[in-house]
Amino acid sequence: MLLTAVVFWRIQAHFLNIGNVMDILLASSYTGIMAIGAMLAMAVGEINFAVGAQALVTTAIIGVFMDGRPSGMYAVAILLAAVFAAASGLLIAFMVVELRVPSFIATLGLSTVLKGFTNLFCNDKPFTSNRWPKIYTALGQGELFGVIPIPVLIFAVVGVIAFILTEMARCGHYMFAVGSDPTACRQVGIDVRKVKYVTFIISSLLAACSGLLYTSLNATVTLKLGDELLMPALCAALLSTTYYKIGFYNIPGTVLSSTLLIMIQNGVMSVGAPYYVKEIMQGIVLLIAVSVIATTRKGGLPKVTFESG
Amino acid sequence: MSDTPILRVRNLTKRFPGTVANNSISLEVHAGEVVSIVGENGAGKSTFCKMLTGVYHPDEGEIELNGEKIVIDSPILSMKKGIVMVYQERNLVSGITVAENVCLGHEITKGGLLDRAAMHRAAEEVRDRLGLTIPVDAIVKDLGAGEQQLVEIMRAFYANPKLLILDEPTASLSESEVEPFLEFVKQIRSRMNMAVIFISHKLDEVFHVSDRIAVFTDGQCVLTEKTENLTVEKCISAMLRNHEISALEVKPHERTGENILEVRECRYEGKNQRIRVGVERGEIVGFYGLVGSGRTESMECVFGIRPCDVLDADLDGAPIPVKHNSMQMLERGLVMTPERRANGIFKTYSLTKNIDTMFMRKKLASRAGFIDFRKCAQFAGQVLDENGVKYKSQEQLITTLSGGNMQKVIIGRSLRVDGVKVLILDEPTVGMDIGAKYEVYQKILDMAEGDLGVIFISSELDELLAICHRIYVYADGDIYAEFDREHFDKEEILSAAMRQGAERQVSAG
Repeated sequence: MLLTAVVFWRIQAHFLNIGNVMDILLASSYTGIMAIGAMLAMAVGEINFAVGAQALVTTAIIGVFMDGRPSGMYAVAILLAAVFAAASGLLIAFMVVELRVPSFIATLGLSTVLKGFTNLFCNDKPFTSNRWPKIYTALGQGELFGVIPIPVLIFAVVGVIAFILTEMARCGHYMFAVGSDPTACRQVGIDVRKVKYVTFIISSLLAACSGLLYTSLNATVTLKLGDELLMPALCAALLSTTYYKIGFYNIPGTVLSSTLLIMIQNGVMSVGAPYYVKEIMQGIVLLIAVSVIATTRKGGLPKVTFESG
Repeated sequence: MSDTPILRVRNLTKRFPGTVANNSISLEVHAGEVVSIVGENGAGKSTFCKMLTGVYHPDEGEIELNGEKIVIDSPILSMKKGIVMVYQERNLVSGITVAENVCLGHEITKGGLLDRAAMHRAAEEVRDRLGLTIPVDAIVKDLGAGEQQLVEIMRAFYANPKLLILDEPTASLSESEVEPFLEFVKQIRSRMNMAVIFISHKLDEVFHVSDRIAVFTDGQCVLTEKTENLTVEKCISAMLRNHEISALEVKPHERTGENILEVRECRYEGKNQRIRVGVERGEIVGFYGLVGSGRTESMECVFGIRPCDVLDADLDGAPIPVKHNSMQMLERGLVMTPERRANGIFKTYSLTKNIDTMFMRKKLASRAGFIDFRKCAQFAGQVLDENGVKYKSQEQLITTLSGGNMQKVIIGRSLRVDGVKVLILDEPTVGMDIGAKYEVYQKILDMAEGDLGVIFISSELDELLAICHRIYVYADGDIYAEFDREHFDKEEILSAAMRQGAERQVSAG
C-alpha cells in the first residue's frame, strides 16, 4: 500500500497533499464502512451482495423523505432508513436461516429488488433537490477542526468499534466460529441462527450508514451508487485476508484495503486515465493479492459458502 | 507351498528426516498364504507397502520376488512385476460400469475404438476366476460398499498379480459385509494360491483371515508368528511395546433406579420410534447398532441438534422440552460429542480457540462480553494437560493433532462444562489405533467413577462389551433389546442388531 502511495506520489506530486489525502480518506470512508458490513457477512460464512443496494435505497429514502421537509425531520429520516435497512437484513437472515436459501442468491435477489424500487422512487432519474435543509449535507461535508471530514471520523469510530467487536468480544468470536464451522458450533453451544441474524442486521445497518454518508457528502441520490460501491467493498473485504491476520477476514485489513482501493482509484484518475482503468487496476490488485494468499497459506482462503448451513 | 517365497524382504530400511520409518524389516510371504501386518498408526505399515509398490525407495535392504532380486523404482514397474495394492480409499469411477472400471487404464480397443464386448468378456473372465457374481454391466455407484470393494479387487486381478496387498480393506464396509469379504480373501488365497498381505486395525479380522501375523512397532517388525500360536493379548502387548497400558477395570455399578437422564419417548422425522433409555449416575451405557439405526439420531434429538416430533425426557428430574437447543442442554449439564470428530472441531482454529469457544458464555468472558485472553490461554493449557494431549504449542492448528489427541481435546473440554451430568460420546474411537482407543476407554471409566452418566455409542461391539454396564441395541430406528453386563452375549446382541433388518427384508419381499 505504501508502495502504491509512493508510486502515485512520484507520478503526480500533489498526490500526497493534505487535501488529496483527505479526499482519499473521504471516499474510503463510505466504501470502507460498506466493506466492513460485507466482511462481517463473510465472517459468518455467508455473503451479502445486497450491501450496495441497501446503501442505495438508504440514499433514496433519506433524499425523497427530506425533500421540502424541515431539518428537524432529519433524525426521523435517518431512523426510517435504519429501520428499513435492519428490516432488509432481517429478511435476508430469514431467507438464509429459515428457508435455507443460499445467501449468495438471497442477497443478489434482494439487491435487484431494492434497486428496482429505488428507481421507482426516483422516477428512474438521479435525484437531487434544492429544497433539502442545510443539515442534509452537514454529516458528509462537515469537517472537524476544518481538516478532518466528519465521514472520516465516523469511519474511524466504526472501524474501532468493529475491531473491538470482532477481535476482543464474544460476539465477534462467535461470528468467526460460525463461519469456521456451524456444525461444531452446535456441538459447543453457539446459537448459529442468532449469530446469523445479528450479523446480517449489522451488515445491513453498516451499508445504510455508508449510503447516508454518501448522499450527504455528494448532495445527490445517484442510481448507480450501489454498483459503484459494491465491487470495491466486496474486494476490500476479501483483501482483508491479506493483511493483519493472514487468511482470516479482519477489520484492520478491511479498513486498509478499502483505503488502498480508493487510493488506486484516486491515483489513476489524477493521472488522467479514464475511469475504467481504475477497475482494471483494482481487479488486478485483488486477483494478485488473493492468489498469493491462496497459494501460500495452508488450507487456502476462508471459504465463501454458496449453500446455507 | 513351494520353498521359494513369492516375496522375500530383507533388512528393508527407510529413513525420513528425523525418524526411521522402517528399521531393517525382514518378511516373507509365500504363495497361498495370507500374512497380516498389524500395528498402530505410524508404526510403519504404509511405508513398508509403499516401498513394495514403488512409491518410496528403500535406503537399505533388498526385495526378492519369486527368488529374483528386484529394484522397484516406480509404481508402474511394481504392477508389471505383479505386486498390486488395493487402497483403503475407493479408487473407482462411480458413474461407469464394473467392466469399464476393471479395464480402466488398460482398455481393449479395436481399430482405435473401445471394444466394449471384449472388455465385458475380460471383466467376466476375471470375475469368474475369482468366483464372484457381480454383474459386470452394473453401474458402480449402484453397488454397495462391499461389492465396490470386490470390484477393486477384480481390477487388481485384471493385472494377474502375484502378490496382493490389501490396505484396511474392511474400513468402509458395514458389519454384515465384513464376514463375506474375509471369506472371499481366504478363498482366493487357497483357490488361486495367491500371496496376500492384509493390513488392518481390527484384530478379530486379522485372526480370522490370516495364516501368519507380523506385528510392526515403531518401524520395526517385532513379531512374526503363525496365527494359531498367537493370541490377541500377545499381539496387543507386542504392538504396545513402548506404551504402558493398564488393564481395563470396570467397577460394578449398583442400579439405584434413579436415572440422571431418562428418555421415555422420542420420535423424529415423522416416524413412530419406541425409544426408552435411562442412564444413572456412574453408569456407562452402550448403544450398539449400525450407522443409521437411530442410535445417533435419537440422542441428537435429546441434545437438541435434531428437530424431534415428540420428546418425553428428563434430565436430573426436570423435563426437557420438545423444542430446545444444544445451548440449553449444555447449560443443564448434558454434553454430546459428535459422531465424526471433524464435526466437533473448528478446523481453522488453534487448540486454545477450539477449547475456549465452548466457554465464552461465562467462564472466559466478562459480563459485557469481552474476552479475557489471558484466562483463555491458561484454561486451554489446563484442559490440554489434564487430558494428556500431546501437543507442541497451544497455538498449533487442531488439525495437526492425531485423531486420538483430537478426541482427547473434544472430550476434555466437554468434561469442563459447568455442572456436567451426562456425557454422550458418539463413536469416540473411530479410526484410532489400539493404544489411543485404550486411553479413551480409560477416560470413560474414569468419568463414570466421577459419577457422570455416560452414553457410549459405537458400532464396534467389542469395545462396548469391554467397558459398558448395560447395552441397548438399536436397529432400524428403534431400540431392539437391552442387555445387562451379567447377560452380555456377543451372539445374541449381534443377532438382535441384525434381526430387524432381516424382518424388514421379509416384509419388503
